[in-house]
Amino acid sequence: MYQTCRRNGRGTTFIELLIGTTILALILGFVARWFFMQREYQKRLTRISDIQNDFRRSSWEMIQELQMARTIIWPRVNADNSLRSDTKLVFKDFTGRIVSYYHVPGSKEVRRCVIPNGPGDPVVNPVPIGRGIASMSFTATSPTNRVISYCMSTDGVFSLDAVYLINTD
Amino acid sequence: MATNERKGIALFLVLGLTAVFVPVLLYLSQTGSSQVRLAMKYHEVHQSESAAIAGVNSGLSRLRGNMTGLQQFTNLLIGEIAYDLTIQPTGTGILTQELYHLFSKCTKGQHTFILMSDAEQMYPDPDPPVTVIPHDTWNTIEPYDINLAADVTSMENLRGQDVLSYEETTNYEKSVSKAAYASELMSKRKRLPTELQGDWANVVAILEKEKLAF
Repeated sequence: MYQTCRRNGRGTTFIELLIGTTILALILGFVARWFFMQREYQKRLTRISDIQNDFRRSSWEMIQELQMARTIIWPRVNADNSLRSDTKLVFKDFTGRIVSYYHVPGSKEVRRCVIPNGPGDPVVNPVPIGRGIASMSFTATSPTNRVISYCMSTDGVFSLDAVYLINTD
Repeated sequence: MATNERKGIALFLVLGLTAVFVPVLLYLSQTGSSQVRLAMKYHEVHQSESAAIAGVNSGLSRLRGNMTGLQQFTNLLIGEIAYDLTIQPTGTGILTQELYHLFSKCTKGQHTFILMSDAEQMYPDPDPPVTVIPHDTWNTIEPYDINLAADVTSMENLRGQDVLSYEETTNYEKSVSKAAYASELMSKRKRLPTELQGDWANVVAILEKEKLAF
């Protein structure tokens, strides 16, 4: 082709341009398809990371307080020592107050409420300790009421963790 | 003409390479962005916490090994993670046992975790292992220097406030009758969030059953 062009002393033909453009369009098409697939994959990964980040943040908040708590009040294992789960957790914290974490399905939040172990009004934290959590359950696994496991899930992403209470009652 | 053709080929190559490399670079930059940094941050948080907990355990082991008096260790290693450990005597107990505060601190990246624990070292016990009873454990992420007396005092004061609050609560719990205790707690039911109201009677029943007494 090159030799022909030189020999004839003319420019590129329409067919040659068309072939070049088609090849370029094909390559661009493949690259664009790959690019958009990657974008979708990236979005999916980001979504999963965001969910895991929500889980980590709420886990961190809860673990810090829970591991220093005195005892788990609710849920407790059943009379036959079988597991029991609930969407709320009630425990005595380090200073003896009654503290509860509970899931609010409507707003996908985990909230914290402090209930004085004596006279005084319950106070709900203005800021939730967990956001973007579609479902949550706390499970009592030990008759000594010193271990609590919890499971969070959102859009098919799960997080399961357990906390052992260090302090004694 | 040859020059024009070479320009065409060059243009083709430039466009092709741009089309390939721009998405690749974009993808790589996104992959190495905030999510990865966030994951690293939490990794550091967990590492520092684990090292501090292991630090307190190592302090308890030293007490079991009959180590006595004030001890300050810096740059102790768990693998590649460094932590500081201070074992501070606070007095002698009614059974002539030595009372201690243990401070363990680990800093990893931007995150600091300090764990404090009470421990009783039983005396007399001529041969190790000495009986050691650890008590309350308390943690903070404040960047205290546990080898500075002022910071240690500050931590103790904070912990003291917690213990005072605990005493206040337990004193109340011990001083009232079971019926009065349950009645006070039940009176809060209507002021609780809806999610807690359902099982509150069961919660109060457990609290009443396990109420502390003198």
